[in-house]
Amino acid sequence: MSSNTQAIENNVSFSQSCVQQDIVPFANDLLNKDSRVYFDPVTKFAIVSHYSDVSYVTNHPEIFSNKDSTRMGLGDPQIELEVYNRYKEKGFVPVPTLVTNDPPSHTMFRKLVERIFTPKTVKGFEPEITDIVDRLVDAMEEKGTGRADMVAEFAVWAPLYFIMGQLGVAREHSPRVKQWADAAIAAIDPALSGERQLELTDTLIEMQQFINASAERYETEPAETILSLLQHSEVDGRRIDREALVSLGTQLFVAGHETTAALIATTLFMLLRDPTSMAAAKADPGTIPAFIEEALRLNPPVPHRLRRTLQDTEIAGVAIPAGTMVQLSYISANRDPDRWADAEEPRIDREDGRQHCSFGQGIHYCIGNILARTEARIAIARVLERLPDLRLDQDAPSPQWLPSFQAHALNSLHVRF
Amino acid sequence: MAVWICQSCGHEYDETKGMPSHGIPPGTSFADLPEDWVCPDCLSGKEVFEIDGT
Repeated sequence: MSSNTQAIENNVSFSQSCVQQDIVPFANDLLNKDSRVYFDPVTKFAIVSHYSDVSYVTNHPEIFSNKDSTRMGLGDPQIELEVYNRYKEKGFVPVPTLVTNDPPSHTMFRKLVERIFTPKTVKGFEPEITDIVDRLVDAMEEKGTGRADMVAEFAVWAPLYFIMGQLGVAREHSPRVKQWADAAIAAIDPALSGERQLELTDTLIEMQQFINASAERYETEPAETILSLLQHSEVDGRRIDREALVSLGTQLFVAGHETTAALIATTLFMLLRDPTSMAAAKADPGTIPAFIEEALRLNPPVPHRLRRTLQDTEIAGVAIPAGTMVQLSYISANRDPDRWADAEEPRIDREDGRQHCSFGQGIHYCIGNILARTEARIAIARVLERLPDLRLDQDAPSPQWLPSFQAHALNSLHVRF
Repeated sequence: MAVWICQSCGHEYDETKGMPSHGIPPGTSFADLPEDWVCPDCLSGKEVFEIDGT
């Protein structure tokens, strides 16, 4: 029996790093269980895996709240209080805006940010994204070795440099900025120690201070950047206050970087292991967006999201008490054979290929999806055009999935070109 | 006949093509889509669509 069809042992938890590093068998096993809701024995989260169930939860925000979706309530209350006090004294207490919010407050922030991430606005970013990508390829070529790690030298930096510019943070701070982004992802691991949580809080406060410094500057010198546009936009005659702006900037920074970096590296890796799709992408770059959708479907950078039940309810006939954290397994739903023909195969001819769950659904559909798709398309297209002999480096370590609760990303992607 | 673009996800509704796989025949104007019709990709409502001005 292959690992894809084995039933999950009842003591397997997604909090285990070995599960996170080999997530696909776990994701598929969830779909094969008798019950459509799996109660994780460590986190106590109710894991939902079928496409129709994930859709049901995401489209009923009145039952399944997003408000606590990154504050899982698993921490020591004293540590939580210390975290709050540090934010209050040195930074900004995070305000629920987009990712961790519900209507009607969510609706106001959504309206504000939506205006800045339209297809037309993102189209205007394309020359800058192309320039960033080309400079990164230049740097790899200038080394003269014909070898590179596409994660550490390319995928991480393309979206990071772009979002840094949009938040008004100078390029010279990029190593520090990478640490902020890593801290933001690490901070939502439910298995975090108290000491580590406080360390990460201090790092995140530093990020807040940089974003706040940009906002100070933009107050009197508006610019055509995302942060400045947000700062000077109004919804119903109101501008957002500084606390909310810093929270939004932080969310956009993290969401706008780590996930896109993972998407670029994962897409390249899948192409490098799939000669037919690689040949198609090189022959017709117009097929690249469809392949990116398949990379998103099969290996979503955000493999799941969380909701908390506001009332006693049921999912697929399973009773779920009020206050339960529900883990929506996007990676399972995206491989649900009841929803997808040839679910395990990347196929660029899917008419419904954009209907995966990787950007969520409904009112919390990822607001940066158009930007992420655009960055990935430009990055992949430019790399394939400029490095036509790109191939996996067989003498270097193979890529591995990172052990992470919140991200599904490769640790490296060593290539030759 | 026009193309309408979802401002949330970029999905394009082309009035010329309709969406036969969703039971919407070619030539169906955006205005004639049901009021509760949603974007097939991100599930946003009709109000999020704008006519393609490019």
